[in-house]
Amino acid sequence: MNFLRAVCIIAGKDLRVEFRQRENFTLMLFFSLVILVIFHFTLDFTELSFETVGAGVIWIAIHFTGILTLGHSFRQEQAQDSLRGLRLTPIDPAAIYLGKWLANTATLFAMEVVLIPLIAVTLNFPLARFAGPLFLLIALHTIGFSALGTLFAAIAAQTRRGETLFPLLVFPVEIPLIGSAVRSTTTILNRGTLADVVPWLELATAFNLLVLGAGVLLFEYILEES
Amino acid sequence: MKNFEFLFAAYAVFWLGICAYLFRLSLLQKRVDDRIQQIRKLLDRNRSS
Amino acid sequence: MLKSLENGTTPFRNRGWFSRFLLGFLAGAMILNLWLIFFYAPTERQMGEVQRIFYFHVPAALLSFLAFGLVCAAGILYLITRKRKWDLLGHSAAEVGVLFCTLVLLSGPIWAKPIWNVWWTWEVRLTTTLILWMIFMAYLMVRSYAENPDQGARFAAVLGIIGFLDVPIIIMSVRLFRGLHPRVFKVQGGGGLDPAMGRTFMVSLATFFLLFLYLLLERYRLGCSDWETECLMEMTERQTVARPGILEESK
Repeated sequence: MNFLRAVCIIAGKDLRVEFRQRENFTLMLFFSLVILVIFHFTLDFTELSFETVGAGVIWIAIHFTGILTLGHSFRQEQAQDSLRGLRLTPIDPAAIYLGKWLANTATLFAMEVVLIPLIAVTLNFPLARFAGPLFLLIALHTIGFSALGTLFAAIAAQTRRGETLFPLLVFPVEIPLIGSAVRSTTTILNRGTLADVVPWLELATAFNLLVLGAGVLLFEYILEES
Repeated sequence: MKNFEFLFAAYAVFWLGICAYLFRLSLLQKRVDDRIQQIRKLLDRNRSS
Repeated sequence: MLKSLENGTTPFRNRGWFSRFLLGFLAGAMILNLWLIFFYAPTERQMGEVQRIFYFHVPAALLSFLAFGLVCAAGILYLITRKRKWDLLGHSAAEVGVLFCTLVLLSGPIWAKPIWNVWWTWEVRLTTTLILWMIFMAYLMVRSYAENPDQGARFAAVLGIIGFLDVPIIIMSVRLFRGLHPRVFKVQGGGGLDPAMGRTFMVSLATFFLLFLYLLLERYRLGCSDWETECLMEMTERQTVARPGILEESK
């Protein structure tokens, strides 16, 4: 129970910081809006239907916006050397990892709640019809994205050129998950059912478990003082 | 001799790659070895003085 | 290492017999291998001469996978034992693995152009190799961008472990993505089509394993020399600090 409490405390701390600042969230929303407009000018939404490009737009927007907030989650700890404070707290590093992961996932969800309807409006697709399966898919894949992002953000925050390095670390490892997300979402948007995408769901679950397991086991080596 | 030029290109690329890597390794190794010699000399001189 | 240097012994300075023996043996094997590839193995009827790329291409691909496995194992051992030799092994294996992987990615398109008439296709093995190459390039980058070598070693170990465990998932995802049914591909040219081809392939695989081993050893030796330099530098620093005392003793 102590472990769970520690997880909640860390997650609560991050969410409180996020809620008080709100600047991170505002930035993300604005960035995703910019991405959408760029998408329109590169792909021309009036020509292409949501069945063909919808999934790609959704996931590229989520990933590019998400990478900003994930990278920020440990860089903000560097500002006043509060990373050292985290190291010194008598909390299991695994709990710190899980707490950070929870907070990041929650932030990403909050961003998606605004972003997805926005995409639905700009691409003209009936969100209500797909809401159920789409929600499940987005939740499943966001979990893995933030699990990997949280782990590598801790690495990137402690290296030189961390901001640039961070996406280079996350994206190659995450490619299977991105593939899974886009393919399964495409199937759903083309009026498929969840039963059609079971192999992808299994793959995403395996990825999530692998990354979360690795994060819990390996996080202490990343946080270690050098 | 069908497609011989492609075979040639591939082998050339392959061996150039391996040789370049070996060359780089030996260059670095030589530099490090020289440096080790230097430091050792310095150490010995300091010890004997 | 520092201790043994202070005792006057020089560890790892084996330009030694093994490396030389390996090089000699390797040279002989490589000549035999080249002879087998160009004169012994029959020319494939449909693909023509270009099929002979496979005797290099496939072993290099297999060995880069082996190298990445080694990176993962060395990473785990390093995080548990904190012995620097494991970190050196991981770093060496990653570098040689990326080299082989690069050569695979270069020779693959050269084969594909005359056969499939395109330089690049998003085929399962090509895509998987490309993704692996990117992951282990990131591994090398993390190392060079870390604040200090110890930190770089830890970060790289974590990345190496996750990167290698990701391999089965990558393969599965690429297969599903292409809509292929998971099945074992038969390696063209090596898969018992012609016994002479099979034999040549096996010899080639063995020879390239030796080449891999040689490169790995040489890279490892370079790492050890770097390490030695660091230790020697530390010794000179100590000496300068201790020097006044030494001078008085000598009087």
